[in-house]
Amino acid sequence: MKRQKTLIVGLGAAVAILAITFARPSGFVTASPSQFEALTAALAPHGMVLTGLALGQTMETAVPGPVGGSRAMEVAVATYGKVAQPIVYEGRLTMPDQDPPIQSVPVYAIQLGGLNLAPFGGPASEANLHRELVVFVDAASGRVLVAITVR
Amino acid sequence: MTFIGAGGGTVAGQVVDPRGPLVSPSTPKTFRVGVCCLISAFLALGALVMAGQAAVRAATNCDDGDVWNRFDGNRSDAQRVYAVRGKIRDRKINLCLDPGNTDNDSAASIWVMVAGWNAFEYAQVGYARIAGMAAPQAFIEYNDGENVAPGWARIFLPGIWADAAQHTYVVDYSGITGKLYFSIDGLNKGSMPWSPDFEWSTPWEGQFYAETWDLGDDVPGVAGARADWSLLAVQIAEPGTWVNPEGEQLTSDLTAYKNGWTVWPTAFQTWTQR
Repeated sequence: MKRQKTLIVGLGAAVAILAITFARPSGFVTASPSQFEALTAALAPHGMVLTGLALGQTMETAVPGPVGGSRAMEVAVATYGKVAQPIVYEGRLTMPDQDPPIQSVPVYAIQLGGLNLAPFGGPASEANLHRELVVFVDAASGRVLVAITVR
Repeated sequence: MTFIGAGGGTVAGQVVDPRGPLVSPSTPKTFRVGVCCLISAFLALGALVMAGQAAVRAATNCDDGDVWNRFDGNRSDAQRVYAVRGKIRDRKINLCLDPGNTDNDSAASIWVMVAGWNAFEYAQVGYARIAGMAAPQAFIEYNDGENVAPGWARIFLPGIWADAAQHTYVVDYSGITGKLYFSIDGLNKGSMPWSPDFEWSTPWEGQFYAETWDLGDDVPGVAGARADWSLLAVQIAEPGTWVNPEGEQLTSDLTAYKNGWTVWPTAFQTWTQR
């Protein structure tokens, strides 16, 4: 009986090790209001205006049949890779400088973190590395509209 | 049942080992199976880890101990430049990606640029692929050369790059707004949010380069499918008209990175040949 218990514990440990080794987390974290505020502040200097959905509005009411945060995250990860667990924001993106312009488009903003991006201009100090890539996925089509690095 | 001698024999037709059973008859079968599974699992895990490491070494040739900018192309540094233009053919980019290692520095890009006099003062547009990306994408990057805001930013623009297609990239200074604007195929794709007048040193120059980050990264293009550059031009006044670049000289920082003029000084090719 004692050996059987040992066996069960041993097998459990082996399964756990394998699971941890090959795990592919599929979930994501939904952004908090303070995170949303921080992101909008980081984007504003670069001509990207991210606003929240209207009060009481959900992505489902903003866009008929939105692709959903999980699908948007899958698209972002498939396009740019992933290190840390993504954070998902819902909002509207405006980029008046773009031709054709992006005007108040409902988007999922997928924040891919855990990066160490240096500018192409050359090796950078730790302080000048960008840690995040924010990927804007059109909530209606599921296409990536644009992505930007942020500190 | 028959039993023949003490030195071995058969019991009901089965061979009997005179040393007795290797596993105690009291050991449950499930325990033996479990031990085998446990050992197999650890052996499999070890084999997979070792195979993965071997694959990294064999397939990538990444050298994270020697990560530095390496260029292939030329610059126009004989004039004060206000705008730069170049038509570049889209080519696939081979990176020395470490499978499963998304923290590496592997990256390659190809672009036209207006650059300030000091290092890290630049505004560029072209296409690039960095570690983690499945395929190249058009991009914009600007930098004030400082570690503090406004600092630098890279913006990826999907849906433009397509293997073998050609696109015309422009970085253009506006004397009215004091800002630099980026366009691809005549469509505005953004602007630098601050004026280089207050952030960069002068004079500015035009640059036309492919660039990599790791010895194992390739500049776009191979011998049989090179990255073609054409329509190279700069503006040396604001407002100005397009003129031929001056002072151009093709250079390469790695012997594997090749280049050659097709029409001097407005068209050339870059590619990797290892």
